[in-house]
Amino acid sequence: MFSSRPRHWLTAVGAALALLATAACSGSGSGGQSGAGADVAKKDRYGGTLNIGLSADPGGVDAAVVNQVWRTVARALADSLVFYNPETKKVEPWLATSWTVSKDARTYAFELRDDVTFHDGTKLTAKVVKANLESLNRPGIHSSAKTIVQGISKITTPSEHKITVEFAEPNAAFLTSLSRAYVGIVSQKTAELPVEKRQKWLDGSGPFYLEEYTPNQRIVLKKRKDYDWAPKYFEHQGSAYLDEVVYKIIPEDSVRNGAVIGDDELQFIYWVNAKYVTQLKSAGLTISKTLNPATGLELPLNTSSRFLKDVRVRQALQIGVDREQFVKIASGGVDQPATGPLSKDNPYYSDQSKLLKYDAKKAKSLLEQAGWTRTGSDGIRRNADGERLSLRAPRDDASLQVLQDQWKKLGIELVLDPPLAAEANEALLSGKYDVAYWYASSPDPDVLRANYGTTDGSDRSFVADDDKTGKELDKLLQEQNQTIDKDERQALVDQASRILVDQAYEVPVSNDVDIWAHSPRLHDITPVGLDQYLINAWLAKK
Amino acid sequence: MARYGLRLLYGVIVVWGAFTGAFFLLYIVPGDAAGGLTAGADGADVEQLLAEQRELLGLDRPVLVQYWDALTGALQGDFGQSVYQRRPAVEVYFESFPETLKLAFLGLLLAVVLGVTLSVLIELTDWKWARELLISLPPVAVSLPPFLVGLVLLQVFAFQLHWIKAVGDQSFLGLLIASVALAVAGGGSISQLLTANLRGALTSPYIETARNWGLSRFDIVVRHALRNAALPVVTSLGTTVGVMVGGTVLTETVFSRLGVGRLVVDAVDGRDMPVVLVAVTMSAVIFVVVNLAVDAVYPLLDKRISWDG
Repeated sequence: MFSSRPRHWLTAVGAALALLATAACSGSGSGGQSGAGADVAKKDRYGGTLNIGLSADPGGVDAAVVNQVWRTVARALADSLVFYNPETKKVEPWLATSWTVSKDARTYAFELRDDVTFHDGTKLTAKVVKANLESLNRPGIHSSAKTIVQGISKITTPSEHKITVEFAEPNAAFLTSLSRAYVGIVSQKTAELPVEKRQKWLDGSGPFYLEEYTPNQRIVLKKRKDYDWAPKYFEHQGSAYLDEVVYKIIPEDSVRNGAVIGDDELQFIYWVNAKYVTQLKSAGLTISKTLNPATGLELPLNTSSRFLKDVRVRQALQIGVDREQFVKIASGGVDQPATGPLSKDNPYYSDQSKLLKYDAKKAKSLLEQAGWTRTGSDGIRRNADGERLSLRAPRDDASLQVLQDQWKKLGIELVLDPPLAAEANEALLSGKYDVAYWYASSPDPDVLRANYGTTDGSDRSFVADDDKTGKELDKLLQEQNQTIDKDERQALVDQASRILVDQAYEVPVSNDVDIWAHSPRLHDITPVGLDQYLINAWLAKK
Repeated sequence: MARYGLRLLYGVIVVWGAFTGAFFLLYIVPGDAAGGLTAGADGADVEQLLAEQRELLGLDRPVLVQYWDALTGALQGDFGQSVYQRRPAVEVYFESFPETLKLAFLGLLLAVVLGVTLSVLIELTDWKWARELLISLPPVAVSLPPFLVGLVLLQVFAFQLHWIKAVGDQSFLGLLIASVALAVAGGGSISQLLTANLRGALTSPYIETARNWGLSRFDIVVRHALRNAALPVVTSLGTTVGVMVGGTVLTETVFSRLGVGRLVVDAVDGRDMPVVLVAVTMSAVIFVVVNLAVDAVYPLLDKRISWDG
């Protein structure tokens, strides 16, 4: 939900200034030696400090307790039971060497590695994992971690390195969820810490350990010399290359950009706004882009709103979005036009592009069929009662302004009325908006159930009691999370996706792409989903 | 001195009013700390997370109970725990406070030096063109926002000259450069006010007398006119301090400095009530103290104003 954060006027001026400054001092040697480092022998990659710029203090270091830190710090500190391979889109061994899942998707049995230690010197055992999963269900955990372990009915540890987790209801998404940093496994002692302590400290089994966390200033990680259990995917034996990783909190965009351009103070920044890409590229930085494996910009439509009860109006909104034009304007072409409710990087991606083709003519005729025939002097359609077709959305940024513009051409008004960050969750769940927004990052189709499910889920399209298709959709969404068989599950997700798009319970607009910018000296930060894995990262000598 | 007793009482009322105002303002604006904490959670049951956090933070209690607890706690110096940092809000505040104080104090000092120097120079300059150039500076300075000056300074001194670090520089030079960003606008407004007052003073009869004594121009401007023209400027310092503290927010952001300004903005954003209350209360206390101090300085500058008046 924070993929594109609200920017203010200060940033715009800063950007202009930074542009001026780089224009003045570039010209001399840009480009240079990117890619040249690939031949450096593995043994020569060791050493160095990687400085990473963060735009805000994450509020903690443990993804189990605070949100969003999973993208960065937390992933370097703790390992997960399983690894989600972004290429094969399959779950592979990590701290767990093997597992079995019961056919009813209720029982998961794991076999653990026996050579893993935490930073505090204690060993990984089934009991530790049990303590971990139990700790996530405690009061005070306010991140998504809690929703992952909800519904666990029983955890048993038949032997030192065997653990079985049982759910009351089927939960096919559990294995993929376990690969997320939210459920990074920490030592028994850390798991037992009160939530407020855990947010500031954690002992994991990751390739780095926490050395220092000073809120609003920096987070310092040091390498663990005895680390030797990276997932196979990285083809990496032993410890990480970097000696040290320092996260620095730098709130101002143009300063972060300037600091990474120099390479002295920062070598890596992420969540780069697309508007800076040209500037950073011409300054010789390497830009990498990672596609969000879950959704992206996706607008749930409130089907209980008096304007959007009529499926024809919703469909008009759906095909009234010119997605190609949208990504060009809103993100300079960095994001990708949505082709379904899930991103192409999701293992259960479902192509619904046929239903998402831009067709203004058809959209207008749908609106007319729905009774929105008269157009006022303001260009907005009215119905027989003289009501204006005016919808409210909870966000005001470049993206929504583009949509506002596109829908206005159809005669639909989109009023941008953003709630404050602290009230956003509540405002969105209360149904006071006609058009909402949603953002999910987990590489599992269950995000659709979490968002649109009614019996179990957040029901963000506010399905009415007499909505038959809505009930059918809910059934499919619940069923996909009870189905282990890949093909069966895919079929269910496909059906659900088609209904979501065709009935326009939601409007998928774009799949968002995280932009990372780094010094050409820095190599091999590996994106897995939106997480940064630092195990292979290394810095070429200056 | 009785007048000062009454002023002190007013001061207490101002501080209490600021505390109460901040509490209810933050209560009225939509959203609460539970919403801030759960923001960014992309799981399913956000409602449940919200409700649970509210209960843990005590936000589900009646507002007057919450207010009473906050007020009685504050009177004992306990403002509660920062919701995000999970340690006493007072500790969080006073960790940042010295940084802001240094920045604002140095900024103010530089502003006074800049403003006074400029005004005196204007009066001492004989060349018309130079005078007009100097006179045109303060209005320009006043209209330059601190963050803009800060960004330019940062570009020059950090990214081009490498004299300071762009990020969280702890050196004195770093502090000095950041405080220049603050001082430019403040210096401009001091100079504007002072120039106008100097004009008035220099055309008044007592300066005529001084001239007739045969004092040098420098002596007249600096020894005599400046002293009389300074009074309104001292009065305005009370508000200039406020402007300075406001300016620190942006300056701290641009220079990635730890400070109260940044702290408060983040705290209001996330509805971190304890931190906001400490900050607002402290700001009110500073405001009251500075104004009492300004009152106390008057008699020293102008003998006609007495402490007992």
